[in-house]
Amino acid sequence: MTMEGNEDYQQGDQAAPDAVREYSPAKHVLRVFLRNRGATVGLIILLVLICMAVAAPLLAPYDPFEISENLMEPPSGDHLMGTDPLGRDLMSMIIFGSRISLQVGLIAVGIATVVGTVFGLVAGYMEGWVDNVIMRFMDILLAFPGILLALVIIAVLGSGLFNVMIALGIAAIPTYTRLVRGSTLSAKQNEYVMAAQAQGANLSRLLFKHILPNVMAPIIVNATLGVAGAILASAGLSFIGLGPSPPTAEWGAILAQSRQYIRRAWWLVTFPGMAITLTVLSINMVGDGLRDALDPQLKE
Amino acid sequence: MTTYIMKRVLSIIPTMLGVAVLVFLMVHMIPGDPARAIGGLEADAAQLEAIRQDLGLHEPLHIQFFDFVTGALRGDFGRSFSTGVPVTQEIFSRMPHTFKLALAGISLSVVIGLTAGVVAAQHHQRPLDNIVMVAAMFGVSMPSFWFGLMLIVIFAVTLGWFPTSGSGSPSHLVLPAMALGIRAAAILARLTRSSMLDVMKSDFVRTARGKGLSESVITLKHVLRNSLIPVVTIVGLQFGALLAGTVIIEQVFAWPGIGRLLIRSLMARDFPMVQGTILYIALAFVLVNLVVDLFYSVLDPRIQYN
Amino acid sequence: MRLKNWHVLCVSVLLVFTMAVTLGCAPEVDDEADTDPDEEPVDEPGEGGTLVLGQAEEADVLHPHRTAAIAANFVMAQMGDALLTRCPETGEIEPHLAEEYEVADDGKEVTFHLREDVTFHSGEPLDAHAYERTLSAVDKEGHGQGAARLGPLEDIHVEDDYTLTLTFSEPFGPLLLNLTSAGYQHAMDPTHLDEYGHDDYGRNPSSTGPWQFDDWMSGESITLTRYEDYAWAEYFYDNESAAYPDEIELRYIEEDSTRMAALEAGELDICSVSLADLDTFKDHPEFELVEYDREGNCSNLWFNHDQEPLDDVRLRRALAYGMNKEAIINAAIDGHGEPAHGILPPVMWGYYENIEDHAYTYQPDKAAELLDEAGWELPEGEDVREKDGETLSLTLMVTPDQEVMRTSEMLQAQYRELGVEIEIDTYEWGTLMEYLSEGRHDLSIVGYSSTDPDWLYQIFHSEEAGVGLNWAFVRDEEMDELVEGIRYTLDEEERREYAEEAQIRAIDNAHWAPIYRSDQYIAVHERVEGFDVNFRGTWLLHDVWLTE
Repeated sequence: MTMEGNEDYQQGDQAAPDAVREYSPAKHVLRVFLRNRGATVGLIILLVLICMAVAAPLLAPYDPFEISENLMEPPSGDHLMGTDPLGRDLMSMIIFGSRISLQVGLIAVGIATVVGTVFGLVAGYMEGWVDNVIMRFMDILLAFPGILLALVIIAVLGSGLFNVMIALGIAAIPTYTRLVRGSTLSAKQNEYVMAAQAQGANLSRLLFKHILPNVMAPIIVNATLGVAGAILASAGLSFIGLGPSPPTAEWGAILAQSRQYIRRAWWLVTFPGMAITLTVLSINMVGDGLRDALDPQLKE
Repeated sequence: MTTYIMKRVLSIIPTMLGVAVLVFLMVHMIPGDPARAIGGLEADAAQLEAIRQDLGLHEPLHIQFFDFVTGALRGDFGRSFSTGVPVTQEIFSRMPHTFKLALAGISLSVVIGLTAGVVAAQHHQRPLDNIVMVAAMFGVSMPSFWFGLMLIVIFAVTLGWFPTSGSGSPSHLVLPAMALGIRAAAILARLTRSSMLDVMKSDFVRTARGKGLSESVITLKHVLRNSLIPVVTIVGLQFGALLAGTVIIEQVFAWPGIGRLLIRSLMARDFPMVQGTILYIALAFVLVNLVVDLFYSVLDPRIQYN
Repeated sequence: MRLKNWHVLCVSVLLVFTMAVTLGCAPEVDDEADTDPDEEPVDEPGEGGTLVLGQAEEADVLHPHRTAAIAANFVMAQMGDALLTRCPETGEIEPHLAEEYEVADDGKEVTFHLREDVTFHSGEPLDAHAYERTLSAVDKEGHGQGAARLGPLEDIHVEDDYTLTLTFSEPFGPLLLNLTSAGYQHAMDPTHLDEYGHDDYGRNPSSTGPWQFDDWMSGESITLTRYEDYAWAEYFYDNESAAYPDEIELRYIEEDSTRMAALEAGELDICSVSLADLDTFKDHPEFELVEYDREGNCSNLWFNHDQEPLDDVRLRRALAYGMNKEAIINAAIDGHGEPAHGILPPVMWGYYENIEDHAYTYQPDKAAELLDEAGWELPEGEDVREKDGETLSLTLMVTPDQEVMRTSEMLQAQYRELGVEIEIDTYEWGTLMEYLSEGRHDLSIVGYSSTDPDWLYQIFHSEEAGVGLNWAFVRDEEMDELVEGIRYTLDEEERREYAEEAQIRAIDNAHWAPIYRSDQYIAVHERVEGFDVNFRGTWLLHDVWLTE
C-alpha cells in the first residue's frame, strides 16, 4: 500500500515524464503552500503529531507498558481512551505509538528514496546498458502489485519492526527510481549541466550537485505521500500477522491486536484507527500542498 | 505506434522471466520446512524425509529451479504441496473471483468517485465541495481492513442488509467491493474534480456559457466529457492497485480469491502454489498496466513514443 | 485402553446392537436420550435443510494418509467411520465397524472382525480387502496423520472377507485409541482409488460415513450430502439410519471477527466461539452455548534446556513461580479459563490427579530467592538482574495470535517485576516451527491438544530434540525411560504408572510451565436440535435436525 500511495500520485509525473521541473525558491514554495488551506491544516496536524511523538513521555498520562487490574475499561476521566485487555492506558499507548508509526513511515520511505534516487540518477545519466540493467530490474520489481512484494520479503526476513521498514522500503524503490530517472534524463539537457560536464566535473559531483537539485521536487512530493502509504501498509501487514512484534505500540499492531473486540470494546478499535487515519490524512494533505507548490505544472 | 506496441508486448517476456527467478529465490529463502507444514506436529523425522522425497525437495536447488522454469514455460507449476491440486487448476478457479471483486470495486468507485467529483466541482469552494473533499481525504487514509470490519459490523450484523462474508450472490459482493473501492473512489473524486475545474476554465466552456446554455448542460455535455481522459487512465491503473488490495480485503471477507490463496499458501510453505499465484498476479498486473498505457497513448496524442 | 477387558468389550458390542443396553458407559447416554424428550417435548426430528457449520481453517486434502490438518480430519470424520469408537461420556473404547477384535498376548497382533452390512457411498461393500487397500497405502502414500497414527505397523493380513489382522514390530500403546478416529482412519473406497488414484482421491473421496462428498468451492466451502443407505451409526446415537438434514455446508472463514459476525448474523448454525466474543453469545436468545473440556493445555511456556541460563533448573523454577496465571487468564482470555498445573489435562486418560501438589503457585518472593541463589542478582538501581556482567534477558518466540500475544505481554510484564527482561519475537507458524526445532529460542508459548499420554514421548524424549516436538530440548535418561514405557507398554495400570511419573518429573524439573486451559464453547443456533459433543469436544452430528 505504500506503493499504492505512490501510484495514485505518480500519474502526474507519468503524464509528463520529460517535463523539466523548476526548483522554486523556498520562499515562493512556502507562500504557495500556505495559501492552500488543506495543506496548512494538514501541516498543523502533522506538527502536533510530531510534537506528540517527541514529547510522548511528558504527555502520556501513564506508562504505556504498565499493566493494571483495570481491564478493558471504557473511556472515562481516568482513562480518556479507555484501557486495553491488559489494563494498559490506551491513550498512552497511542501517544507512544506515534513515535513508532512515524518512524516506520519515515525510515521505509528513507530507504526507498535514497536507494531509488541513486539508481534513478545513475540510470538516467549513464543511459546505455547500465540504464537497461537497472530499469529491467525495476520492471521486475514493479510487476509485483502493491503490498505483495513487501509481503514476500517479510516472509523471508521475518516480521520485526525493522524488517517491516526494510520490506516496505524495498518495495517502494522502483517507483522512485523511475521517477528520478525520468527527471534526470531531462535535467541532463540543461545547459549548465552540460557545461559542468564539459569542464570535466567528476561523476558524483555532477549527479548530486548539479542534477539532483533539479529532480528534488517530485522526490519530495512522492516521499511525503509515501510516508502515508507506508503507515497504512504496515497496518495491513499487522492484520495479516506479519507486522512488528509487541510491545512496540505501533498503531497498526494495536489495531490488529484489538480487532477481536470490535463489537465489545469500540474504543479499542476506534482510537487507533482514528490515529492512523488522521496521521495519514494530514500527511496526504501536506503532500498535496507540496505538489501544488513545487510543481507548477500540476497546479490548479 | 505498432512497433511501440510490439516492443511493449515483447518486453513482458523478460520481465516475467525475471519475476520467475526472483520469486523462486525468495520463496526458497523463506524459513520454515514445507515437510513439517504438511506432516504436522506429530510427524517424525523419517516421515518428514519421506515427504521431502515426495515433493522433490531433496533435489539440489538448481535442479528444482530448472524443473520450475521448464514447467512454468509449459504453464505447469506442479501440484500444491498441501492440497495436491494442480496449481494452475486452483489458480484458474480462484482468479475469476478476484477479478469479479476488483471489477465490482472499480465500478463502485467510478460511480461514487465521478458523482462526488462532479458535485464537488459544481459547488467549487462552497461547503459541499469541502465536505466531499474531506470525505475523500478520509477515504484514502483509512486502513482497509479496519474499514472492512466496520462495514461488516454495521451493514451485515447490525442492519442485516448484506451477508458478512463468502461469495455466491451479488449481494455478497457489495461490502467487499465497497471496502476495496473506497480508496479508488476517493482518488477518482479528487481527480474528477480538479480535471473538471481545469476544463471549466477553458475557452470553449466560456463560449458555451456565453451562448446561454444552461449550467447542467454545460457540466454534463462539455465539461465532464472533456475531463474524462485523465480519469480513464486512473481507473485503469487503480484496477491494478485493486488487484493487490484484494490480498487484505479477501482475508477480511473470506472471499475465495487468489489473494487469500496466496496468504494461505505462504503460511503453509506451499512453494509451488506461492510461485504460481505470484506469477499469475504479476502477469495480470503487468498486462493491465500495459493495456492502460496503450489506451492512454491512443487517447492522448500529445504523448510521443519512439 | 482397557486391554484386560477385551472380552467384556466384545460382548458388550453385541449387546449394544441387539438390545441397546451395554456395559460401561452407554446406559448413561441412553438415559439422557430418554429423559431429555420427556422434560421438554420436542417434535419428531424433521428431515431436510442445510446445516451450515462455521470453521476457521480450511481442509487441505481429504485423503486420510496425506493430511495432518484438523480441518481435514473433521470433514473426513463426517464422511467416514472408524473400526472402533469412543464412549462420548467416558472415552472408553468401544467397537464400531469392527464388531469384535482380539489382541494377541504379546500385543503385536490385533485381529478385527468387520460388520458385514456396510457399504461405501458408491454402493460397493466394505470388506477386509478394502481396508487392507487403505492401510497398505500407508507405506507408499502415507505421510499424514493417518499414517503417523499406525505406529510400527509391519503387516496387514486378510484372513477372510471380513477378518483382518494387523501385525506390529513392537506393541504400540496408542493403537486402539488411534483407530477410533473416523477421520484419519476411515476406509477409502476402492472404486474411487481406481478411478482417481491417490493424487486426486483427496478431492474425490468416498467412504462409508453418513455424509458423502458433494462439492468443494476452494477457499469458501465444502458441501456434503446425506448418504441415504447409511444404517450403521455409532451405538450412542438415537438415529440409527441416514442423517436428517439434506446437506452439510462447511464454511471457512479465517478471520475471527468476521466468523463471529457471520455467526451472530445467523449465517452459521454451529460454530466454536472465540472467547473475546463469548459475552455476545452468552445470553443471546437465538443461541445455545455448549461447553466442553479441551484435551490439552491452550497455553504452556516452553523452556529451552539447551540455552543458558535455562539449563539451570533453579531458573526454570523461578520463572514458574513468578508466573501469575490468574492475571494472565483475566487479560488473555477474559477470565474464561482455569490455570493449568500439569502437562496433561484432567480430561485425558492417564492424568495424574494430584499433580497440583507438585505445581508451582504464584510466589514472586520465592522466584526472586531462586534467582539470587542461581547467581542472578539485581544490582542497586537497576531493573534487570545480572550475573558475571551479563543481563538476564530472554527471547520469547511466539506466533502473532491475539491470545498468545496478550499472554506474552502479560508474562513480559510479570517477569519485569522479577528483574527478568523478556524480548518478544513474533513469527508466523511455519517459521516459528523451524526456529523452535533448531532451538533458536529461550522461551516459547505453544498450546496443544492430544488424545493420549503418548504425547509426553513426543515432547520430552531426548531423540525428539531437534527433529521432533521436543522443543524444550529435554535430555533426561530417566524421562526417556518413562515415556518409552508409555509408548511400548500395553498393560493399562503399568502404563498409567509410567504416565503419572513422567508428569511429576516434568513438573518437578520445570520442563514446561503450564499456563492455562481456556473454556471451550460452541454456539448452536436455535433452529438446530439434537446437537451434542463428546467428552473431548468432538461434534456429534448424527442426531442433529433443523426446525426450519
